[in-house]
Amino acid sequence: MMRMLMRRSSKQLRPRNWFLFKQLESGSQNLSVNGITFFSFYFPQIVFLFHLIYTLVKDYCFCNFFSNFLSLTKFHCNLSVLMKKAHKTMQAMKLVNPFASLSEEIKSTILDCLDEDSETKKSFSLVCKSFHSIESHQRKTLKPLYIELISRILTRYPLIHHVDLTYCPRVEDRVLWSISNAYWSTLKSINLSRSRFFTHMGLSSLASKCWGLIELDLSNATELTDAGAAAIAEAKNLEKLWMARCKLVSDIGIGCIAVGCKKLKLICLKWCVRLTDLGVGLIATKCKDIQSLDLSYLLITEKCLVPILQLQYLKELILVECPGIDDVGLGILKESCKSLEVLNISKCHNMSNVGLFSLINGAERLSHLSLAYGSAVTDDFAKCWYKLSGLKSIKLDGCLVTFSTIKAIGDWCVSLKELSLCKCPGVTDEGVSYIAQRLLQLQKLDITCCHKITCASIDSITNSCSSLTSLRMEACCMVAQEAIVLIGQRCQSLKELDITDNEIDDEGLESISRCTKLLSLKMGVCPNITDCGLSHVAMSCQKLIELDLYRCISITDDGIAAVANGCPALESINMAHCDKVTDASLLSLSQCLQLKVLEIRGCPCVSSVGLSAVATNCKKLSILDIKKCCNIDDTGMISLARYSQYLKQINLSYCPVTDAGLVALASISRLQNMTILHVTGLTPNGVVAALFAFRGLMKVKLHTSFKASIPQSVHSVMEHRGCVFHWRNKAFQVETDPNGWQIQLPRHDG
Amino acid sequence: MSSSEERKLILKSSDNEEFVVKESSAVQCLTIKNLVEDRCVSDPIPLANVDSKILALVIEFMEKHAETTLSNSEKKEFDVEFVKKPFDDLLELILAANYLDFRELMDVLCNTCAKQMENWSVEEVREKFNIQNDYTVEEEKAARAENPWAFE
Repeated sequence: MMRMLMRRSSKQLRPRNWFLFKQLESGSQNLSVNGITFFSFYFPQIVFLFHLIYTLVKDYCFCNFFSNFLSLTKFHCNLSVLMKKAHKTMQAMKLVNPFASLSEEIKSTILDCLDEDSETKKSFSLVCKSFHSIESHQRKTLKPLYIELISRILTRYPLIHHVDLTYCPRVEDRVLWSISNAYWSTLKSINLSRSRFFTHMGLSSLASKCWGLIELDLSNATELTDAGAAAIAEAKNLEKLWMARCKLVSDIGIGCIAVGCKKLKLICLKWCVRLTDLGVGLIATKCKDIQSLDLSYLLITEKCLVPILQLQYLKELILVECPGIDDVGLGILKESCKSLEVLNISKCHNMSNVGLFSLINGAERLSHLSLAYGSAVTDDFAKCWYKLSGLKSIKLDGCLVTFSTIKAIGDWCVSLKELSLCKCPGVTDEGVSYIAQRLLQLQKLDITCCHKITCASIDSITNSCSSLTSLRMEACCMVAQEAIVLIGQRCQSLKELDITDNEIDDEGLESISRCTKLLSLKMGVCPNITDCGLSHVAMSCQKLIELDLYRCISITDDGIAAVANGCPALESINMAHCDKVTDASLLSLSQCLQLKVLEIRGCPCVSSVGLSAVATNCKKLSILDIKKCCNIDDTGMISLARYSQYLKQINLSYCPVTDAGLVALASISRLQNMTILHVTGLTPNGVVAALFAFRGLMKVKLHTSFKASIPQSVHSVMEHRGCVFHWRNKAFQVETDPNGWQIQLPRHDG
Repeated sequence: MSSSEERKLILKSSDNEEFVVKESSAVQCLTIKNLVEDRCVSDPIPLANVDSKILALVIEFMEKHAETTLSNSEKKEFDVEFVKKPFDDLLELILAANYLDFRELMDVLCNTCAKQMENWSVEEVREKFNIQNDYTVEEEKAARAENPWAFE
């Protein structure tokens, strides 16, 4: 028998005696298995039974007991002989095929270490049949690109835990039905936040069959009704539920969920505007395990807060812009929730500090508080900060902060790590210096648009806050360039720095380059910085991930080349309106293989040659803004179509692209978001042809002049697919950007 | 433990070479740890699935990671150097680590293997692992058409 095996080992084995081969292949991993190997030469059936029992009791360490037992018996000497022979067989096999000697378990473990969306796994599966089967059983997450092909994917991958349907705008009930049939035992989480066209019946099959479902994301399901909510209630083990913008769901629906999903820990009901105190109160009364509750923009009052604050495990409460909650009502609250850690009452205009303190009376663990754009912060408040001494993070964006408030924060909140005074008009040097000298543990400070701040504040901040990791000072226009030098000298643990619209020159940049841990550097609207300064940054800040050079008009190709050479981890770069930048910059940027976001709008010297270079090498490119690049034409589109398979969002307004270029883009399967305003080369027929060709498109921005020329039938087809049109009436702008100084940061739809 | 000296164990490889190791390092391998705890230690412990070359490497790794004086970053640096070996050796080390149930070594090795395999094409995987393609032409066509590009 051994000789037979030796002969077989020279070819790729497909063993008849599967069981025996398995034992040898797994390399005689345990002594007990060796015992089995010994027996297997004489009693295959008995061995099979033995192995079955062994597998069943493995968890109780019988194997160890068994191995010890064996080693003490007289079989031991025979065993070692056999082990040597088994080992020799293995050696013979290894010479031919080292990877085959690894067991499936090990191969699975190696596959686990690969990135989830890596192409390697897919190559791996095509190598041979056994690899195909290993990969099929190892994969746990699925993100389909084409919903039509899902049935084949479902049969191939039987053990999926997470299904992400965000690339599929149209998901019908039968798809949910097939998913629930295929993964009824394994499914844990499903994301339907960007999909429409399913109804309560599909949800019901998911919720009732997949008993392991713990996470469900139904945000943006604007057509979901109470029937849908009742269907969700069938998911008895649900722990996390997102229902943002489900505008049609009412108290009845939420009541069903409250009664059905008793294990809920997180629920997001943002914008579910039909909900009232009744529904929310039911959730609070029935779902005792809730840890995170988001009730933003709802018309609720303090009545539902009574049961909410009695929740034992509540950690996070978000009440952004709840106009129904006011001081008078809050006065009835007796005590707050002891476990509350995060509270967000931004934009609650009817709540002042009186109401706030009724809300947090007794919340000893409160660590994160956001009062942005609200009315709570007044001089009276200053007297009450002593109650909030345990806070770690405070956000006061847009509030009327005066010196007395800042002084109180500095006096009492000594363990503060994060402070945001973004757009607070009353912030002065006196306040900032006071705070800086007392809050020595401060890590993140945001003083965006604090127009009264001068160099003195920066001096105190940099002197005292040595562990500062993030500083945002966009548009602090009174700060002189000397201050920037101080930042570089003293705050060397900075990871994030935003000095957009500040006075800075190359000397300042040279100093900033000492912050070698910088990950994100935003220097928009800094016309005095040149390539020289930029190269200092490029040479020292090698971990840089994000760089914003919006309107830094003195930057040329040399500076960008330095950045590309020095920062290999670069993922996002904004060179909008840097008009000296040419194709050479894009050629250098093609070395940054991690590049995901590229914004070159308003760069007239850039052409398709440069864009093709980036497209060919930067395979992860996902957001591209080439608005007003008057030299990028169809050739560039064809390169994108060929290489940029991960492209999700593109803006090609004002580009000389024609119908052919637009249709070429349709082959990019992940493209979801497209803006094509004032693209003069497009004709209505061309646009229609292109729209038909796109399969995953979710959002298209077109000029209203096209609306009439696109037939109604096309509109309905696109709607059927789940694509939404956004019509814009902007007039054709000759200048590259008439609102020069306004910084337009792109929204990254996740 | 009554002795003030470090207890030592003797490990014997498949080609009868004996290695002396400290018990405190050796118990990182759960297989050995179980044998010691169950007091079934016969001196020397035979490890018939591991040859001397591989066993020497495993012991080197074991002892480095058992040293409490080293910081985590120093251990990581050692790991980086340790895995600079030919691929076949790494696979044999994986087998040994699996047999000895040495979790840390397994993790380091599996991660290295995965990184090396990153971005390989189908043909490269076949060539480097010396695997024969057992698909027929039709089967392979069908497998490729099964749209690995249809999902992430």
